[in-house]
Amino acid sequence: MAAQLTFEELFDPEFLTALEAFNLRIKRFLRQGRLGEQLSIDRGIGLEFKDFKQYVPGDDIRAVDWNIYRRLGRLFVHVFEEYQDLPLYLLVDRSRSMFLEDNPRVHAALRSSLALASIALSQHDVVALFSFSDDLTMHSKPFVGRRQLTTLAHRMAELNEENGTQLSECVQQLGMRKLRPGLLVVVSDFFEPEGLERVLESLTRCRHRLLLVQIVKDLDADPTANADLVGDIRLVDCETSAAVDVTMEQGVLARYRRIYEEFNEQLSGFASGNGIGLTRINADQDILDQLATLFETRAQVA
Amino acid sequence: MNFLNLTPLTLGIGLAGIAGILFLLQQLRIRYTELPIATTMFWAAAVREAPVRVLRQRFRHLLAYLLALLICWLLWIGFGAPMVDERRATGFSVLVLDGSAHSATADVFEQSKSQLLSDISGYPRDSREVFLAGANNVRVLAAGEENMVLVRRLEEFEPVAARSSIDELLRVLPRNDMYPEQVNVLVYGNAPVPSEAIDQLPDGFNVARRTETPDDFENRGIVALGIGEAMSGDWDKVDVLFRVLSTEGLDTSIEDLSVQSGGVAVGSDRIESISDNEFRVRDVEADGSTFEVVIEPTDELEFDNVAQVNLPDKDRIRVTIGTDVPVSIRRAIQSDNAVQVVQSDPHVAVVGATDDEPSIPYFRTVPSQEQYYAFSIGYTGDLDAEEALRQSVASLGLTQIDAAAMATDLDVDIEVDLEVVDTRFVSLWSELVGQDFNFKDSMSFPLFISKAIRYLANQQPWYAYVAAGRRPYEQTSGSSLARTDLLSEYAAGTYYVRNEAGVFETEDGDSLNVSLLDSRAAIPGEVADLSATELEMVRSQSAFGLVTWLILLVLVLLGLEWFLYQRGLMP
Repeated sequence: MAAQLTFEELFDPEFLTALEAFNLRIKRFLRQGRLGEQLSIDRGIGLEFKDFKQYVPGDDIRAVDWNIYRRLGRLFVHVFEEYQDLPLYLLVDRSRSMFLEDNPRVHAALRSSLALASIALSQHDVVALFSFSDDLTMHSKPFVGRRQLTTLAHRMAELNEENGTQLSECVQQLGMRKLRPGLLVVVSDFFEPEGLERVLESLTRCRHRLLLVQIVKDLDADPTANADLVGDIRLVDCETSAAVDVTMEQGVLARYRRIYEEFNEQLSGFASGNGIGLTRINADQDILDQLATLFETRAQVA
Repeated sequence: MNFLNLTPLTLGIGLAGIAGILFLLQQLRIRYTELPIATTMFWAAAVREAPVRVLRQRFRHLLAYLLALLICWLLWIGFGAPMVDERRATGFSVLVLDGSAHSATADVFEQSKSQLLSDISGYPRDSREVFLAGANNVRVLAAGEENMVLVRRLEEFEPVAARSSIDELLRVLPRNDMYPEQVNVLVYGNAPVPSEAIDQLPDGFNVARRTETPDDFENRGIVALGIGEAMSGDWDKVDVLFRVLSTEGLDTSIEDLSVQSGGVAVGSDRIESISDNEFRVRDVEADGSTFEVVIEPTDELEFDNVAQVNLPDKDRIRVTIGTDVPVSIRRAIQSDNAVQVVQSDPHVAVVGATDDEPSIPYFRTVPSQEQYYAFSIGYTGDLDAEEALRQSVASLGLTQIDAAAMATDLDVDIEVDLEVVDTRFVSLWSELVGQDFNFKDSMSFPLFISKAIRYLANQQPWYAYVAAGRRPYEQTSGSSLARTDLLSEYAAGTYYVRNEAGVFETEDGDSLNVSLLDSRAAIPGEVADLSATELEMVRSQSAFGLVTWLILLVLVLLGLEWFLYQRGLMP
């Protein structure tokens, strides 16, 4: 298992410098407002006209449309769209699969989460940090303001390795917490032993808007790059210890690639079919470059 | 490397064993290397679609099994070096390397030796042996001995100027009880095998040739060199005849011949051509020297370009004659040009009835009252009495005498007696040579006297020719019947000269010239057919070639396996 990232490693000067530049780059592309500045379903006092409604006592008299009254003799008031800040919930996977191999996925997951949190906090949005493995864990009360970024980084650095991946269970637990609707960012490899279907089913029932950050590695798509994966080997699951005996040959490799591709297609199909954002972050490549590219192209971001 | 000729049963057992072992290996569980990984769920799904082989599960990798089985079988067959020649498969193998003059041309011997050394590894060690058939047959590798020994033993051997001794070997082999019923004799070299030697082989003996005979052989060779009494009648001279044979396209003239007698060149004007290939030199001094004929220039086979023979040493017999010797005997002696009448230092004495008995071999006449038998012979040899009497009677020419007429005239039986004494003598009744009896006037009388004098002088025989490995033709003056056991000390067989040309010392210190004089060696293609069998040519594929091809096939199959593996068509 890979070593857990320390605070200094997460917050090393080089990464922080890169993060500031990253914030500037992102802001140039978010001209319609903050990351958490989301259109509310509530109607109220705003700048943008939305609709008319019949006047009832208590309505703001300033919103009465007098032209309609002259024509129809009845009182209607303007209804404007109301903008509200949107809480950002970071749900980070800390199962054993995230801590395996060189350049473990958890490094990419935490750095990606910190980058997103940095953007949100710099725009005065609320950020809450959750982690999951077999159970859901909330690490502190929500953070507000950029100065909370250091505290958030400390909390992230404290995330240690747990056992399995029970994402579907944890999403359900998160739903029962009666949190204010916001943007739920799930950062995980989505390798749940129960199967991806169960995860997607639980995400479907989630009342938050979703952004799925899938942490991948080069070996996932091309296992032949692993020099140990040759001949007759027993593959042991790092979370469940379940063993699979494999004779590495072209037929098995081809089937593996096809199944992994189907896994990704299933995840992508779910995201596009439900208007959910999905991005893949390769743990073996630079994190900030991948995020910047994501925002510049706005690919798959809802 | 090979398994030294597996029997078909052993080969089959090996093939079946390999098939079984590979099958079990395919069925055995694998000892896996454990590797922790995050994507096990995908691998499990991939494996579920095509599980790896496990014991007692369905046999899934038939193609891999068949390919591996084919590769192993080919290697087994290749290294097993199966015998493609049926002769090798059963029975005992006797490999005969010809080291005679027949294989002394060009590089025939070296090629034959290489072929034999190449073949020897293909025979089971306990059922083969190797003979070198040179001047004699020498077993150079016995059954059970390591093949490597043969290489060192053959290093020193070169072909010798000898007749092939393979026929002798074929006569001896069937007498060996160690051989099984099936014996295969393979000849390496050019030696002809006499048809009579083949005919005399018992059932189960097969003879075949393993090497080919070159057909571009060019040679001239002396195939006969012999001595005869001089036609001129001179006692101390002989005539020498020799025959030279040539392969087609070549001929031999007198100018191609170099002849010496006693180290002195004989002029070409003295050499007579009496036919296309026969020559004669007349009146050669019989002084005991060496007569040599050389063909120039030399050709492919050098052994038959030179032939030598010992000339006889024909000194006159010194005879002293007593005072009481009948006139008829005295005249017969004086007319014999081989006899010199002397008064001193005689070899033989001839005495009459009243003369004293000499201490040297003598011929005498005595009255019938003093001697019971008509002829009495004093013998000094060590033969048994019957054989000694037979040989003595023959030597004296008594078989030529009309004994019945003598008996009628004398009215008594004419008998011959032989007694073993220290000094030879021949004694006969004086009445037989008297005036009243006509024996002295018969044609056989001077012959009898002449033979008796030679018998008493006990002159050494001389040889009309001495050819390697053949029976010598011995003769003395006036008779070709002489002691044929004289050469037995240095002959391969009782009556055969040592089978190798050259000069050899006799038991009494004399030098004896032996020449090849073998027409089969000189003209193999033309003469051998007369009495030699054309052996079946064995052309078995060498084990090395088979192994090479099988290994190449294995490599091709391995390449195919790699290709299929890369394409994911086999595990």
